[in-house]
Amino acid sequence: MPDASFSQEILNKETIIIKTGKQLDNNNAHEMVETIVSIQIEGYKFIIFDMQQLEFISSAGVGSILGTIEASREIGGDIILCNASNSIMQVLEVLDLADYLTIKSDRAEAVKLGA
Amino acid sequence: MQLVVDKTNKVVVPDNLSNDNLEQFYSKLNVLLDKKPEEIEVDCSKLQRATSTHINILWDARYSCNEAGIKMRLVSISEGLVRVLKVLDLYDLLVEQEYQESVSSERRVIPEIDKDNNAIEMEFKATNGSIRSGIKKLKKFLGKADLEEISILELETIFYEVAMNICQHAQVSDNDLINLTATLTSDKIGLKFIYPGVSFDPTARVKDYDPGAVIKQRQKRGYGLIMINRMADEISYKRTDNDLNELYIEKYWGDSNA
Repeated sequence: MPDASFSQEILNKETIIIKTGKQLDNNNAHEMVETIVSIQIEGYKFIIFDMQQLEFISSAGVGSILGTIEASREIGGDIILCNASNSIMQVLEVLDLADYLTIKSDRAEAVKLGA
Repeated sequence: MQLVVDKTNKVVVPDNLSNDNLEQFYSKLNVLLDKKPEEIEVDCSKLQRATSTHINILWDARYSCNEAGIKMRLVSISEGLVRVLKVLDLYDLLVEQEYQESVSSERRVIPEIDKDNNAIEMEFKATNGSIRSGIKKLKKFLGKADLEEISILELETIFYEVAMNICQHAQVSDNDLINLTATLTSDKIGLKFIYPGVSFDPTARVKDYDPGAVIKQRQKRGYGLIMINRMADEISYKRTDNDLNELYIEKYWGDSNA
């Protein structure tokens, strides 16, 4: 289990959930990258990114997802975003990412993909 | 160095700024802060003159007291010091202004410079805490306008990304001040950032952006300027005659945004 301040929950041997805090910005984006990379190294194919608490995401926060997602996809997995607020969705849409990211409305929908 | 702790809640600003004196001042200040009295007196009676370092000491004391939730009161202020503080627009903040509950990271905050024009001016340092504090003030100011949540979020994001890019590209230090003037009208807001450092034109750095490609390339950085340019409606930059950077951003809403 990677050691990180983001809350994590193992769903099964291929899927893990990361819960963000209120902010994902320049202060903790590098930590998020390290967390995701550690999880990928441990062999988890699907990472569910639960954004229920997330109120603000900066460009660095977006970059922490975009920069790591391909590694999961290469092994047949994905990073699945869920529980994004309208504000977070707006940021993703500004960057035209809606068609390039796997985004689900809630955790239950996201888990179906990772099951 | 022996630290003499008296029983009053007073710390004396040294005129002679030797390392020992500075250490003694800050040690005493820290002792007082730990005691958490209702008020700390900062005694300026020893000041024969007021240099920038003296002013910085006063500001440090004010900031530390604010953070600790302690009222700071300057005492024995000479006329010369009053003049210097007034020239620096710090007089109201350090001397006359009532203690404010909210902790502020700004060295100087002018809540409203022109009420008729619905404007606000603030200065903040290139640090995360100060930037966050600035965002809070901007959001409070935006409360004057009946904006949609999305518009407020975009303005918050613009502020944050501009500040972060200034820190990164203009090479400002933690102590440099970034000035922001925000002006509200019926259909738009203007944000004018003035900042020191090397020439940094955010409008000149936006490259072609392909979401699919950046994911394939595992690109982790470089999205801030794209977000600024896409969330704002107008952006202009110029280098001022006194070697400062001036970035002006406008965002419309309502019919003008159509």
